[in-house]
Amino acid sequence: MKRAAKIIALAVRSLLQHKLRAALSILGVICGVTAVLAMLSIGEGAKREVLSQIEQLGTRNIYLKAVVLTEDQEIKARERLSRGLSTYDKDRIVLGCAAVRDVACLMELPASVIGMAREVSPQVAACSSNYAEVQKIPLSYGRFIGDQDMERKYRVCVLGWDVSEGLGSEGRLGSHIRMEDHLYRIVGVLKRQGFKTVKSSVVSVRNHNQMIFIPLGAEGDLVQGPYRRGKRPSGGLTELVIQVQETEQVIGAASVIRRIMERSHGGAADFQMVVPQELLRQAQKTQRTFNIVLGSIACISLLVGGIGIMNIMLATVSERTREIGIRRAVGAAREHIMIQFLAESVLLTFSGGIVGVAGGIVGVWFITAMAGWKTAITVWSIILSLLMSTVVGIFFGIYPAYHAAKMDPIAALRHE
Amino acid sequence: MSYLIEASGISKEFSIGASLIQALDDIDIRVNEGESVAIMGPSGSGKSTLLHILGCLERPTSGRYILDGKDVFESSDRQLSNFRANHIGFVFQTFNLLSQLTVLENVELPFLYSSSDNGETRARVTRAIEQVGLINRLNHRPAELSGGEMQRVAIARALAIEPTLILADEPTGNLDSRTSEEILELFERLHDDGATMLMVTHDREVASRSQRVMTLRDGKFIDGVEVRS
Repeated sequence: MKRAAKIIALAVRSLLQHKLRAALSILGVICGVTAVLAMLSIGEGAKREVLSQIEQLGTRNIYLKAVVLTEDQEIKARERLSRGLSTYDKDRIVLGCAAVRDVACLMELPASVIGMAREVSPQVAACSSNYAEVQKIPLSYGRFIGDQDMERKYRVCVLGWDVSEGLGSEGRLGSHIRMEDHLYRIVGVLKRQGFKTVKSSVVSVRNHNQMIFIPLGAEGDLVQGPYRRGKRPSGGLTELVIQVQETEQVIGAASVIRRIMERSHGGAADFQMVVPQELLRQAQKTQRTFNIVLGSIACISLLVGGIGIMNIMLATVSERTREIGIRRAVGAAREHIMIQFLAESVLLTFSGGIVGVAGGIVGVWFITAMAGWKTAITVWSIILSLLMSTVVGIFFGIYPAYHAAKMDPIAALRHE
Repeated sequence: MSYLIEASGISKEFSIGASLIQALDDIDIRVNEGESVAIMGPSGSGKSTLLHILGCLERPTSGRYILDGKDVFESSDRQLSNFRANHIGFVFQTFNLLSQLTVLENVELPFLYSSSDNGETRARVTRAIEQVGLINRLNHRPAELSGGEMQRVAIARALAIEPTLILADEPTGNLDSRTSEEILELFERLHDDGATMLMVTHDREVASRSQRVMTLRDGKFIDGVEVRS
């Protein structure tokens, strides 16, 4: 241990004899490590962003979304006896796919609320009683829509947090709100949810804070008008949220459900299936490509840096031939010489690694500030960067060190 | 009785280009413990090569070498190095100190490679530096010392490991006569304290300070052995 410390101290001393040379020789490694850290941090940031989006959708869930058809398409769909997305689909899926645990239905309604603050424009939707559970929406107070509400078509509603706030005192539990020409009693208010709007997102995530839920079945009064205008999908439902028992079953269940749907819709393209897990896979695939590209850039700069180190170490070795001879004469074995020069090259690249990590942190901060990209520096990425710089030092230091170790001590001593 | 150094039939050949050079030709040499021996000879006579072989820095082409009861050239490179680190103190004509290290660190250098790294390293190092009279220059670099002082540091480096054998290769070759005298006196003092010394020189004056002088010419010892006292 003491000897190792001494070897390192001697290596430091030798390197400090030529400060400028040492500094210049590690530039390549610094750039390489900076690139590695930046790559890892950007990659990690992107991954976390995608993950958080997909987590909002739920990894155990499969979404079936109704597609609004043009008139021509709708005629074709009718010819194929498709009725659009409907509660029949729900029943077929529950019956046809054993892995399905629950299916929640949602129907968006183009109804407007009277007496709403301007900044909030709530989306009214009729949903099944299990919607909150399937989507894991927590309640702030009151209750969610119940089975009885659906059966008896009660005019009750559950408000999102922003809606409740927007209504002020009228948004309290037990008060009534007016939608179109009808009054709905508020039975519950949802908890405020962290909602991230992401540009260029693959999936749209519903903002539950700005929604009003009413029981599915009680929408009749609100539907009349808009339905006649033909703006809604023919089957009535906007979305089916299918919850699968286990996360691992999602991909299998998705293909079964797709087959059920295609058969019952006669092949009509009036629905769209979104599997968050598949999106996750896709995102990971894209991520991998990105990582390979950046990784190769980082590797190339590390390679170039490493060659620089090798060059300098070879020059150092030939410059210090006599020193090698002296050390051999006073008892250094080949291994000692090898270790000494390896220690120097590793020390060089490791310090390059440290500077590179610092550079990477500043660079990542700069990218976040300038381009607004999400980034995340993990401890692992720092460890990996330092490890890579060490490996470069060992790899490119071995040849010069070997060259030094195999020198003939007598010839080395005579070297001028 | 057994000798400290017992080398027999030592030959060494070098090939330079196509020609083969016989540096040492079937040499026998025996040295008792506590003896001081000088090997003389003109340049190119093979005396440095002999010193390197006796110092375990180089292997002979053929021959046997027993040092302190051990057959040296049976050992691996690693063992030879270890042997040098623990038993042999070299003193060179050109001092061969490391310029980036201080006096203290230069003298400590062999301990980096020796197996005997116990707590008394520092004590041995300072004792050796004291012996050569440089205790007040501990933290100086070689560049700040005179030639004589540098050679004394080199001697201290050889002494610190408490060697079985001190080998000196033209130790006064780069020094003026007054400094040479100082160094030779130092050697005599060490010899009086019981050190075994083997010195290579081409200077008859210097050689005559040893107990025994052997002359080497064209790779062979010639005629008689001069013995002083």
